[in-house]
Amino acid sequence: MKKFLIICVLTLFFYSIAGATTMDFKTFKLGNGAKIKYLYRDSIPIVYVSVLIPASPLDESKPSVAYLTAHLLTHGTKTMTAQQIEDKIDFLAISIDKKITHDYTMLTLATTKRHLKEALNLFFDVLMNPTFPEEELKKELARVEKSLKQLEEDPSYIAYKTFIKQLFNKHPYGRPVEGEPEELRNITRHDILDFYKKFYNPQAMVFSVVGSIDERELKELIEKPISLWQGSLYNRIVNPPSFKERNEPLKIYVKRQDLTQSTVVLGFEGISRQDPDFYALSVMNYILGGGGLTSRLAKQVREERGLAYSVYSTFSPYLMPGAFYVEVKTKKENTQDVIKLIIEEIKKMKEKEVTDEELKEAKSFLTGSFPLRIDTMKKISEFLPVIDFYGLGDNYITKYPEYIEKVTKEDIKRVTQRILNTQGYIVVIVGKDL
Amino acid sequence: MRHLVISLIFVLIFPLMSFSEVKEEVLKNGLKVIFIKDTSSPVATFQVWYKVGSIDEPEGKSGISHLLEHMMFRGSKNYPGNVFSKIIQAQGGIDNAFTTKDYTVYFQKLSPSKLQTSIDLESDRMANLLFNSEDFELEKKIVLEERRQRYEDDPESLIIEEVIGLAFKDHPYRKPVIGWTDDIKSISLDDLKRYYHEYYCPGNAFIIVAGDIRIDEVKEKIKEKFEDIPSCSVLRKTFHEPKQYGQKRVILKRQTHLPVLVLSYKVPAYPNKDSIALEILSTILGEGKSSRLYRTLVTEKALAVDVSTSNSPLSRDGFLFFVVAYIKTPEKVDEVERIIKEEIEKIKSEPPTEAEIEKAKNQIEASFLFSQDSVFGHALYLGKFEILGSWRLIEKYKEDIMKVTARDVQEVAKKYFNFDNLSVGVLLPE
Repeated sequence: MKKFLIICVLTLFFYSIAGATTMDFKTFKLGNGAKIKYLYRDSIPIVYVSVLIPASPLDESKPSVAYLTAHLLTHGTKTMTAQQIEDKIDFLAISIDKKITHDYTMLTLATTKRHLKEALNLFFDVLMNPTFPEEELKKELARVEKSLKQLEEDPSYIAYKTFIKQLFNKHPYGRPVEGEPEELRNITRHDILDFYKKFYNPQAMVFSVVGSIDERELKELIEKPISLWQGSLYNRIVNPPSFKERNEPLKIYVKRQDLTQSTVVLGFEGISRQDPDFYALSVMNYILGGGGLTSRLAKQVREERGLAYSVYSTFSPYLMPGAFYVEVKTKKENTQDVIKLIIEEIKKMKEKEVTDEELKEAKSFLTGSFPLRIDTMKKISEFLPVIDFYGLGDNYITKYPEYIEKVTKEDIKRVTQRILNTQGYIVVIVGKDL
Repeated sequence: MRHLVISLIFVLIFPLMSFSEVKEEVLKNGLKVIFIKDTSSPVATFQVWYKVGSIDEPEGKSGISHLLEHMMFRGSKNYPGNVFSKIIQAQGGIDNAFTTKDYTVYFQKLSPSKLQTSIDLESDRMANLLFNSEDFELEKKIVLEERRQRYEDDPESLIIEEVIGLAFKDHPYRKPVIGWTDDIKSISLDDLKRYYHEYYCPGNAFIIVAGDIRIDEVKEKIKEKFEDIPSCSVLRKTFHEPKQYGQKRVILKRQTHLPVLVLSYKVPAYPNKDSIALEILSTILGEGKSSRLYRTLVTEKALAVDVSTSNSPLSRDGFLFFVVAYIKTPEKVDEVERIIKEEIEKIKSEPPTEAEIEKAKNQIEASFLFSQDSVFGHALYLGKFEILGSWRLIEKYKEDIMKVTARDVQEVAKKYFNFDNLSVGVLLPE
């Protein structure tokens, strides 16, 4: 029942970092290529272990294989059945989260110190010895198909899915990581095994360990099992998306008779994470629609006119260029007006420089709010491997404020000219009576 | 007034959670301040809790607590206009608020060095909220959009709202926190002002400051800004719910792919000990993939995509124990309902195993520890107990949980999971 949705929907590293924060984590590189980032914290007797696996829809033979592979890890190992694993996870009160992004897969183990040993044994077992039993795959496919169909009742999901499909065409960035319900049936156990064999190798993995575990235990309980894990490196071959040149807007309507609001996603091509304009775009996006209630879009659409409860802009800087888009939900009758307002704001952003005050506030927020992005052990544990994956450097935490501070009005102007596409945008409207 | 010598109740508690230091202080106007020194990360949270939620709302004005929450971001005497979030964000912080059936919380997350900003803003809007009528009309429109987004267009939330409305005949818990559309429309600016003056005052609020803070320093700053706000005393209503005769049922047909079945039983809240045994029962029945209902309905019989249970022991008054199942097809709804009831009967006839009890206790311990991984979560956890009377209840709560036996769990199943205490909701595809 919040006053508004917090708009920082980008994963934590997109916004970032305040000067004062330094983090004395250590990095160990093991003989088999795996890396471990380690930070000791003893404020609570808990431990997080994350592992980033460079495997994602970019590497799939069929949609959903990356997602299913990660999810099936806990459905059977050489020595344990799916049920035994579930029993153990619940009994020890631990969790193994699976996150699949368009660029990588990440698993995170959370355990109390009291159950650390058993939790780690289980975690490494599911990571190194999964068996992907046929009947478990069948069950999981049925479950995923059903929940995907349920997801497709959600107007935001439909709007976003339709938008990225148009923007990226057949590129893997153009589909949800969960896949498509109608294509799940073609997936075989062989697809999963093959994906696991090729992409789940320690060489390219980055682990992180954060919490109440000392270095001696780290060596014994974590470094040892990882070091013993052998595998051969399979190089990822990834192709960038190719974007279609558009000279006029593409409007797509998805009719949903049952809805009282229209859900609108309006967007275009964005940038990659390595793009030098990343920081300028971060500042620009904050001013335009990323800054919660204070953004220009929120002011126009929500605060001054009461047309929507939520409106925001965001972008997805992947390994390769991702999307930039605005999402809004508004009463059916107001749909066209709200779209017009959004386009006007985007145009204004292109035509006129941002004000000194806007620039200052955006920078203060982006630099000042960093500690909030890594204010829990869990967040730190998931953050460290990501810094490594995108090559941001171990000093990224201290460098980020500098990168943001360097952004000038001219940089913002340049990035608006480059990114904000007022000619050939894509707009998807999900709603009634269109 | 400001310079008078004042007496303080200052209590130093033995390290409650053993990992952090908690202190409290009651200002002379009755405002309690709870300090949590938690140095695990370089951040702080400032939270103002008002002991008012939808449970306190007058008839015909459902949603007024939540609408007032929206107005709290539209400026106060010294900070006119909607500048609150702007000021906080420009300091690198995040602010927000939420309203529940029992309380309303305003919070900031920010650097400990910026706490003065929170103190300035929160004290001003506790004492001097502006009620601009244009802003009020805008916020009403925004809330109606919020209602459309969260309920009208979301059948899964709607079925829960319907079940709650059905389960309680008279008790204010039957009202949705966001309010019913017509009620929201009928709220006037005067209604809102009255409500604000009745409930938003030091005697009906408390503050939690948590993080890497210097308690003495923060304490002085808080006193300076808050202590002169006039005191108040709120008359607490007593709540009543007539006896239920027979099982109640609501069926909703909306666009959905998966039918949803909701079973709800009225149950008591802490400190009633039954609420704790129900908490253990919830983990055994429906929390996690090894829980009884998940095993049967999802893993073995593959009738449901998901099933889970929830209990809310920390309510101000007894609320509901929910079982919610997402079912594969409409034809299987009855079978799923029958199986859920069978599983409940099993507990009544045979107590859960010792391993199940131990698992439940492990889970409660773990969630207690993990809730402290964030300064914000840590403060919220304490606040929920303070709403019940005192944050110190946590220790007793933990002790009580550890004492629960298999027999207790069986007893509460018998006591509350009955035909005459049940309200069922079914969401079916149109």
